[in-house]
Amino acid sequence: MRGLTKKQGHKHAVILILRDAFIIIAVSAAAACVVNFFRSDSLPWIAARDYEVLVPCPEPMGEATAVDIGDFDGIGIRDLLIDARGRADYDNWHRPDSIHIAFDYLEPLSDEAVGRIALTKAQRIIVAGDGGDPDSGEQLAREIAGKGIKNVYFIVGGMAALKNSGQ
Amino acid sequence: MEMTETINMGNSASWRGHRYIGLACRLFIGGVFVGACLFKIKDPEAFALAIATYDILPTSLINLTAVILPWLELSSGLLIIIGIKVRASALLISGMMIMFMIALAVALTRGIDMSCGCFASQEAGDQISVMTMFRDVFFLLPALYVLVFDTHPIGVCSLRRAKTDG
Repeated sequence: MRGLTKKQGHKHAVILILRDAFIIIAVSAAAACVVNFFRSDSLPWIAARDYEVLVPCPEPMGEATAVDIGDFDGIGIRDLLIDARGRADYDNWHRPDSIHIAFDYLEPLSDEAVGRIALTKAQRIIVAGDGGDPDSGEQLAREIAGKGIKNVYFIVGGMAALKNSGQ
Repeated sequence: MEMTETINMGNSASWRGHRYIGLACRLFIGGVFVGACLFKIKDPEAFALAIATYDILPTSLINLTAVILPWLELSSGLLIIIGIKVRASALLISGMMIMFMIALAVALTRGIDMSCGCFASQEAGDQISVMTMFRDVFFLLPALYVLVFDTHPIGVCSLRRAKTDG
């Protein structure tokens, strides 16, 4: 140590820090391997198959108002009716004054769909889904409300209830 | 003699106050690392799942990382607390923190909805956010301080040295 210039001293110190770090890594790895070898719930060194990572579905966040079909005053000219059912059900039958945005439990609502709703400048957004439990209409309505769109309602019983009411 | 801990790094680094600030930093960051490794050592499979959730490492490296990393955290944390190989431990802790922050940034960029897996399993931990990144920066700074400024750390080595000299 003695007789080293300041620059040499720095260089030497860095080398020793790196050496010590390497020793700590080696000793830690050895200890980890030994413990893993002897423990009853040891992990295999290489996973036999991919881990099944569970990524939660996007949760609808906003508040939407439930509307019972008995209390519903019908679709007005300033309202936007959204059919949240799947493509097959929509193709089978749909109201001509509705637009189709299918609710997807895995995919979040696209910005394009939100933009499409916003562009209508409707005073009320009324969502009707499959009427199931959970109801796709309610889920989509809450997701739309979560995107910052106001006055979002969903019809209890879904599109079937709306169809049966004759409104 | 610990040459790494006796080299004078210049006027600012030789200030004796660094030892005491460094000691506080060491106790803090060492405690964090020892605390963080406990669940990982206890339940390596849960930690492996946490690593897999980040979707960064290939499957072949996940288990190896899940087995070794917690022990590296434990040894670095203990050594930095008791004052042996302090700057090497600080280097390792800084390296691990930077590595965690990169993984976190990747997960945040990808919009992965997950817990960080830093102190608890995926099920128990809080969701990752920008605040998690700030927290990691808060953990990184004391480690860097020790690495750069704590050239004469208080601890087992300094006590041994004092005994030898005295």
